[in-house]
Amino acid sequence: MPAIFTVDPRSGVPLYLQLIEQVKRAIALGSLQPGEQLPTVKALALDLTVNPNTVARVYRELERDGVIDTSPGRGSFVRTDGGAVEARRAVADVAQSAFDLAVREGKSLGLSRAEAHDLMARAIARWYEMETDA
Amino acid sequence: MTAPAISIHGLTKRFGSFTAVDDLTLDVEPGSICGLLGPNGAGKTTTFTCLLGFVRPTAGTIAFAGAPLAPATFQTLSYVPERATLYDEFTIAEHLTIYRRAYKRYDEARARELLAMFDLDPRKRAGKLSKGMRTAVALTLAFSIRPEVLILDEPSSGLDPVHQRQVLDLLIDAAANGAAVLFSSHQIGQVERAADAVAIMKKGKLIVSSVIDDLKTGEKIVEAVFAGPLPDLDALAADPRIIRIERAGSTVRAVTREDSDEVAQRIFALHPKSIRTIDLNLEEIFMNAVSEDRT
Amino acid sequence: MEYVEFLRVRRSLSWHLGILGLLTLAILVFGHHAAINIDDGDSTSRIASGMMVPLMALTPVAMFFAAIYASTAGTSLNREFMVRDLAWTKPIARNALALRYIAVDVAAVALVYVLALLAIVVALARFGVTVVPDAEAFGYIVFGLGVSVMWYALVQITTCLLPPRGLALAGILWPIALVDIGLCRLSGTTGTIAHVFAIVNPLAYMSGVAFDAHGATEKAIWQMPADERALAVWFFSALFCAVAVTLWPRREA
Repeated sequence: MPAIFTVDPRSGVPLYLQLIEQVKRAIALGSLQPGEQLPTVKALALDLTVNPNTVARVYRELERDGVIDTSPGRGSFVRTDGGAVEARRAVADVAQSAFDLAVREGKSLGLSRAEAHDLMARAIARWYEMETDA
Repeated sequence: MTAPAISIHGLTKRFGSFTAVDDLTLDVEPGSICGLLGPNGAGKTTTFTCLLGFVRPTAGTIAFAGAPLAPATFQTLSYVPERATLYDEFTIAEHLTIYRRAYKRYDEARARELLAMFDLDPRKRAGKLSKGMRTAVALTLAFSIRPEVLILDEPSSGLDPVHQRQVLDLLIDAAANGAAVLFSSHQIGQVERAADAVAIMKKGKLIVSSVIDDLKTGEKIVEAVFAGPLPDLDALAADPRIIRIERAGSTVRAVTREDSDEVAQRIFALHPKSIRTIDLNLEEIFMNAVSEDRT
Repeated sequence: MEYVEFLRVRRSLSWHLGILGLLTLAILVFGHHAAINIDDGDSTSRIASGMMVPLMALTPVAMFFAAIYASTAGTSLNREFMVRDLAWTKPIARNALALRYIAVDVAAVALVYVLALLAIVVALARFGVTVVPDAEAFGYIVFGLGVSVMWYALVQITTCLLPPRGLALAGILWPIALVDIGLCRLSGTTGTIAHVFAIVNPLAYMSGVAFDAHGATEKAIWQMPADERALAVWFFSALFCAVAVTLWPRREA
């Protein structure tokens, strides 16, 4: 059993979108390797206690996005070619949304452009500094 | 194109001058789990009694896989009512025997497995069980015949949270094997988890019928705070993508039906001080739907 | 055979037959060679050792036992309606289901009847009384059973026609039937109305049959030859059951 996904059904974000993002994130971060097999729709639905049609939709969209391959009878596998690229792109999207939100929040709180830059630099310094130290 | 597992078309039921169900049309496909939500008295139970033939509809048609209800339909259809109905004078084991003799698809191993899962002692008489245990027995019987259609009215009532989760797993497992499930629940969180489709009833009418994920994608709140007086919102209110607009002081909230991003852009053009989009979960969507008049 | 009804009947039969058995046992154990008087209001007959009694004379008592059982058995369709969530979701047509219940119930009533007859034979033998089957015995036995079954069917159809108060009605049918018999003796409008009800009153076909050394004397409300009376009660039994089988599936909560 590869990466364990968590979804929050109570969130306003549709379940299938959450799960798509989770899978892409797992691929981008390497917890799902290229060529690795994903659980069956039924197994994942039961594991997460979510609807099988929702999981089926996730797999359909992931295939459409070029992240996984599904062959009938064999199962669903992470693509060995380009799958990771799409995954990283998706992850970048998520990150972009997070940055967007932060900047919008700052703007609505009345920050000037310079102040926004400053806060952003401080955040980057804090989190990436830890890395260089280690 | 195969017929839906359950098709309800134009179902109406009147008791004298009271209309319990008003022109209800709903399909449930095999492999789908549809949650039926609604305040008490919305007509959910009446819908079920019409589906099962306990009550004759005033108008409308009901079909199971394209065919009307017949005795043979019950070979693959299970019903769990709100207050689990059992033969009080018989033991659980006798209930199993009754089912074994009546249903072709009865699976003894499955039944025993479920009894064990619910911690039920087959020697106990049904009349001596607590409400939760009665529900558990009813569920055991329902699933023991490996149904293709499941109709459940508040299947979790009386069950502790562990068993409630197990019931959801049973429903998901059934759907994954191709069964169609229609269940009503007051536990919106459960519907949110296990169901892929939701139908919301109010005063006998169906006011929302949608795939849950699509509902969450479309129905959001765009909240904008304005500095100074509010701009003219009449044009905005006429937008068919907006369900309604709420005003509170300098804050405007537009509840969208779909395309919330584009609606947000439209509101952004009115130069608010700040703007954000709020996702709504099913409970919030439900509250919105039943607390005001939807068209 | 409807297994549910079989299980139910098995339980209720155990009770009734158990009581019957206990009564018989009590008579066997504690009875002495005393005389038993049968008093039917007109004459008193003494039963004493060495006497011979025609088999048909026992039928009223057996019918009584069976009719008591029939009263409780007759509520079966009403009781099934209360658990229609279970009963009406079975893959069997509802009228077929009703027919099956009735078949099991009638078989049970017949069983009680036959065992009651046997019990009386055994009890009387204790007093040295021999029961003699005579030419008319079979007809009367069939008639007696028919009255019990008609009683069953009457309870069944009443609980079907007047649903919510069904079970309570089964209880008060006895007094109603007895009062009806009494009212039949009156003349005028009351008597006529009572006679109309008496058409469907099983007891009306039964009441006041006096047995003595010369045979049976008719005092029934309906004075008919034995064959016709048997036919009448069985006809009404079948009619009521048919109506119940037709009406029961159409009940709505």
